[in-house]
Amino acid sequence: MEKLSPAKFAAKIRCCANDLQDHGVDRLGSLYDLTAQRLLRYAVTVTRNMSDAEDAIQATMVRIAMKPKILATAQQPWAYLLRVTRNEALRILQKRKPLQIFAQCRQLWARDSEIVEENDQAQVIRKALKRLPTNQSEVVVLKIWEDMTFAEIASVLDESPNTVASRYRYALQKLDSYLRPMTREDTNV
Amino acid sequence: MFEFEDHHSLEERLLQASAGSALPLRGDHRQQVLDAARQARSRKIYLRSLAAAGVFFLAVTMFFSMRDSVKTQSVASDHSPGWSKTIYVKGSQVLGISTAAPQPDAIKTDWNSVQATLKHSGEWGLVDAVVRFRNERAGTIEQIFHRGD
Repeated sequence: MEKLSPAKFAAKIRCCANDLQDHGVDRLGSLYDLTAQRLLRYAVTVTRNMSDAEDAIQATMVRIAMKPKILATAQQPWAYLLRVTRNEALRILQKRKPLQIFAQCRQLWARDSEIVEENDQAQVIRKALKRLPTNQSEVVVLKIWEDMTFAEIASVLDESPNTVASRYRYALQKLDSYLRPMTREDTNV
Repeated sequence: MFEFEDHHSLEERLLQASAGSALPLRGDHRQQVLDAARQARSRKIYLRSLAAAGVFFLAVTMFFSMRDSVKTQSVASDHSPGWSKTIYVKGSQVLGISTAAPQPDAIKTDWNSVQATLKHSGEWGLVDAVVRFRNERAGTIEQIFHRGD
């Protein structure tokens, strides 16, 4: 995943949205290529499920393809895209609510029997993030992986910056407690 | 007490993990998304044209119904008070005036009608005379007329 500066990334998104507006749906591919991976990473944090996250990305892209002007004129196009993705992900979760209880039971069971066999740092952190409540893990993803400010995250989540900041603090506190034992093990070895 | 600064190393660790945090998308997902967007676009165009056709049909229906309502002829009947003849009009244009003479109403000869006619014309003296005349004789006006009273 190519790491662009936030300003460059926003400009590229705006460029893709303008292209989409001028030339129609056939130009959606460029926006998809630019954003899908990062959107997926965020969507998985919300849905906790790969297939639902992919559905959310698809719904987001279709929505943007229908009204590209909103994205092209948005003050923060990346924040807007993330917000649309979040709304779509929540809509999908809402639809699947009756089945969700089984998924949650399965997740809890998986969490208990979870043994981190891989030394892969990203895997370890992803699993630790999964253990956080969704509203905390999404703040961590947006803050650290998407390099957003608390104000920007607040606009994505439709919360106050103070709420976002406190969620981030709690999330880090929990992550620290989850990851510290592993770090100790690493150093002892 | 939680210290925010304590977590710098953790933040660093999370940031380092971001490089390996990319999740692989399904191979055909891109094509699926593009197809879905194309379908949504054609559905939108179809709905829009359907709505336009509906509006057009409604406008045409309204136009013809209004035109027909203007075309229908209206008739002012001489049965209405104040009209001596039937006048045929279309909109504000007078098409013609009926030449047929209105049928005169049959003369009512019962006591009440006679009294009412006299009262209507303000002949109060005659009303009293008629009442007296009626009280002195039996039967209807026609019967009195035939008897020659």
